[in-house]
Amino acid sequence: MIAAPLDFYARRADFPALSHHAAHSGDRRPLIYLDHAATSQKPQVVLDRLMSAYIERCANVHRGVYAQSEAATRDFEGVRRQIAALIDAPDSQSVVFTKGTTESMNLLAYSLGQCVVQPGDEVLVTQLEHHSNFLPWQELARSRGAKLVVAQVDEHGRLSPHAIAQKLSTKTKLLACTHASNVTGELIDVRSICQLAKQHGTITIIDGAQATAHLPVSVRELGCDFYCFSAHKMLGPFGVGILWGRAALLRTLPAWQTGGGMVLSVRETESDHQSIPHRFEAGTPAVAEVIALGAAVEYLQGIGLSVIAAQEEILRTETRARLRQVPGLRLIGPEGPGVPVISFVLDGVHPHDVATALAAEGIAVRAGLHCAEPLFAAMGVRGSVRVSLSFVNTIEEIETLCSALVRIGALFR
Amino acid sequence: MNEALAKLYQEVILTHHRKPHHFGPLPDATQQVRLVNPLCGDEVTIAVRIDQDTIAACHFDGYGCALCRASASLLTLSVRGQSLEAVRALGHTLLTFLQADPASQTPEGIGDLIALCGVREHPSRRRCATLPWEALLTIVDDATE
Ligand SMILES: Cc1ncc(COP(=O)(O)O)c(C=O)c1O
Repeated sequence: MIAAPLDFYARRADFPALSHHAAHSGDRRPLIYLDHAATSQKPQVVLDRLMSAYIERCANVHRGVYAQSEAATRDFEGVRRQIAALIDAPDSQSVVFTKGTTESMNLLAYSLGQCVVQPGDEVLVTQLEHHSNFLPWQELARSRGAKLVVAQVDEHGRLSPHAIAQKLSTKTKLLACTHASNVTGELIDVRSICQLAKQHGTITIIDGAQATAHLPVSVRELGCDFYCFSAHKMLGPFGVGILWGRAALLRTLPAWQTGGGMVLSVRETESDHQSIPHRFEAGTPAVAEVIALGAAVEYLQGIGLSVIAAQEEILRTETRARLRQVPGLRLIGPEGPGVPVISFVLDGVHPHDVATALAAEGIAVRAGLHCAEPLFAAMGVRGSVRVSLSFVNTIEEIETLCSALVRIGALFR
Repeated sequence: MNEALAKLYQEVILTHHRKPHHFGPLPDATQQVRLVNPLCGDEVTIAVRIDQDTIAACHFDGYGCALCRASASLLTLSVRGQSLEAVRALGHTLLTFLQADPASQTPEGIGDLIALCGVREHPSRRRCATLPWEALLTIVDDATE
């Protein structure tokens, strides 16, 4: 069952930023926000939860015995369970809070990488990756004397399980791969890829930064060993990320940062570290932000991620069809299943000029290489304009975008 | 087109973007420098033929936005036949101007380069206009060392 689009119009009122006026255009038109892949807008319930966390329970977690600290701890740990449920993880102790996908990946490259990668081994990544899921592995391979192997996309940027299979061998200790591309929106067949990796004993790390706001995710069904994502891309606050790992594996990993909160006992010459997840959470976490993430999860689940996925698929298909009508516009990326992220180039107009001209009309998009240089090199494209949608976007907004693009094309050519 | 945009993409800029001057390699270049803007991956190469401390010829090449292309095209016109010292002074005057507050005064002697003034209101696009000049100043500094 797909909810009527009308229900989604009403949802716009939940996002205060959407009724703000566009900063650059001297007029009173509201902002048309088409940059959800960079960061999503935050519903009022998330802002309220954040504010109340700072007012009613502004205390450190796992430390105090007074009411506020106990309440903060209870809420903080409650969100850990919510996250476990959101991604269908078997237990919540394998949910680690970090400060973002980038930090989650760096944690793994350090902690897991030092454990399992030896000189001469291989670490497999793909050309589709965001730099955050590319550079930590490049650095790991360099520092361990291992080889970084890069699975190739085709000329449209499509990554097939076959391309991964070609590069897997018994030497492949780790495979890091995205769930959905932040450039083309392409949804990757992670399940097949993880099955292939398992045949070679390869540990799988999935970058879910572009997936968790758009579709139901089950780490059990995907069959991956690690899954990382960012709160701020799924209606939550900045400064919080998640690292989920299979408990049996996570338990074997050493701490990557040391300090308060991650130890059991400290003596002058040695110390005993906590078990998971606290072993990986040295220092004071972003307590209020984690608590507010709980409101974002409730909001997403309140609508239902399959309902969101269905609505966004309508928007994505419609947007692609309308963009194709713009003279001189070429969509970048493969056909097929995807999250609502769409890249294109406008013939004779540089992506940054397109983005600046759109900004002047109150339309926020992103232009450039989107932290994915290897992908652009592979596709032979110099950069793109990226439109990234959410269920709060409307067909009217897409119409405004397309008519602006027609005018911009004519202006520069 | 609204006012802010019209100021950024003045007709002079669009004309140079559509039909840039001295675009392409300079076969008998004596010096050239290539610079990349890491933000957008744009690249520009400025090539010159220096003859007795004077820029006898100047070309640009590369891939860039309208602002970068227009800035480079304007550059090739404004430095031709000029002494290295004059070019250095012009370059510094222009860079200072483009990095200044939008309300600040226009310096004397920058001619058509005034058309680049719109980037002062678009900090994220400033480097697009300054990149070719940074490349040229590198050449001039090296040549007069
Ligand atoms: C696919 C992908 N991976 C990783 C990241 C990095 O996320 P963060 O900046 O929140 O650490 C992003 C965000 O830009 C992304 O789109």
